[in-house]
Amino acid sequence: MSPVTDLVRDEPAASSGRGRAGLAGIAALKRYLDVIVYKAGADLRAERERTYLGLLWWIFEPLLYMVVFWLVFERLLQRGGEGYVQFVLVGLVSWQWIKSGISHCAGSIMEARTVIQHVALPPAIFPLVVVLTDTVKFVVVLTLLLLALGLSGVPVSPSWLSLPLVLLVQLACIAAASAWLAALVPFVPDLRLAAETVLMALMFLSGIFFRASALPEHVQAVFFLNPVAFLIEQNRRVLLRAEWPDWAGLAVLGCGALLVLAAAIGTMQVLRRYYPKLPA
Amino acid sequence: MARPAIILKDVGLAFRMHRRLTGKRFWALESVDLRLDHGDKLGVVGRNGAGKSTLLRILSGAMVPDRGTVWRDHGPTQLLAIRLGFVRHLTGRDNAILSGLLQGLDRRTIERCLPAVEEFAGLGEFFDQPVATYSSGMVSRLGFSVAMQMEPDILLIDETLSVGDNEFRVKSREALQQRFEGRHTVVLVSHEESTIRRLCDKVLWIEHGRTQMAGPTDEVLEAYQEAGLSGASGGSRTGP
Repeated sequence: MSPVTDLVRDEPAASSGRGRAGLAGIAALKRYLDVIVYKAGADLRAERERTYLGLLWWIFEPLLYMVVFWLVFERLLQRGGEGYVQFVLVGLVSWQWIKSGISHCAGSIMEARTVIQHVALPPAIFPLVVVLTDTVKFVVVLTLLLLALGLSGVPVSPSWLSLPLVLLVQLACIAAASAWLAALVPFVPDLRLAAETVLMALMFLSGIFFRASALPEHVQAVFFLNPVAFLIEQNRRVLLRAEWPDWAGLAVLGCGALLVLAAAIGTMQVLRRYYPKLPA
Repeated sequence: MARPAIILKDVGLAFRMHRRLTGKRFWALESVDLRLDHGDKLGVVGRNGAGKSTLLRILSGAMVPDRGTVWRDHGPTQLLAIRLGFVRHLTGRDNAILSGLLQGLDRRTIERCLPAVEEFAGLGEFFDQPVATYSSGMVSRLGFSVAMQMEPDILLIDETLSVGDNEFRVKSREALQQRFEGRHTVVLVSHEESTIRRLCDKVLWIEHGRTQMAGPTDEVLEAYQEAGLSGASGGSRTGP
């Protein structure tokens, strides 16, 4: 019998032998993964049931944005130039995923308050569910985007093969930012509003509607330090310009994002004892 | 000699008054000592706000105390929660799977239990309809049926010995009473002294978050009655 003062490590079979604890740890991880996948699917189905048009809403928002910007830039201001619609479309679809993933995650832990007051679950599950649901929606929109690009005469090039890698790095970035936001919003609710403001600023600072190549060279160097601008640029390189992505940049960003994500999950595990005790 | 399942020493837990890392706290549980042995049937009594629900959440492992020590033997512990994690727009079947996963069952076990859940809940065709179309009694039926699929070493029950309409009330009470037979370890929070007297062999009496008395059912309930606290009306509170 040994005293356990810190229940954070109080998983099932915590006091059994190391081998059994290891197996139990793997089983627990698998169950958490099951929870994330099933809950994400359930939330998606619930969302589809809740509205009349269901799935179509996922497509309408980026479509609407696209039409508005096409009208403003290409028709009214006549500033677009060739391929502008495709250029904005790729940027917007990519941005939509980043923005919705991050902003939807903010309240995820407090929304699960009743659940975490009853069962001991890692809090990271809840933001990850949201990231996964938004990723599924993105994949639907992406499929349409690729179709639209093909139909509008953009050549399908071998560089498209590297798209999954670009998107995986993007997913890691979204998950990292979302996890930190979800971890801290329960204590600092203002962060949710701050995040919305930052996202709004990022939307205009990441070159969704304008070409970074139009910027002076020394500005460009700083411009692409913004991960959102960098990722959107990679998406365009691969899809529109038939170029391979910036491998080194992707590797650095991907590894960095995974580290930041791991730190966020660790932080949530440390803060886990506080979440169920916060007022609603 | 009986093997201990959970031992609490001077355990206290504070809720936060505000959503901040610092700031005022409210001690829902001040100092509780408890030794729960395998096979114990423990009743917990005390006034509203005495800290009974908080105690169950510590026993379940969902909440970590802010002071004191907790020692526990390995093995799953379940705080009986009806409709945990339910999503209104999903069918009864989907909610059963989701709730089971959240409560600690793995996917394969749930799939295997689904026919049992369906039968026990007795919802007929409604099992495959969205929970939003259910009456509150039907939601309770479903929630209870899912919760009863767990086979925890320690079952924690907060006030809910029976749910739903009359017919289901009898059925759910019987199902729970089975858990009080044999080697199961059960902790029951209840305001019904008759129920505790009938089902529990030990009682913990807490008052203002402190252990007032612990011991054999008759002794503790007698003292509890003498203090004029028996028959206090029920109710539950989740936090400050």
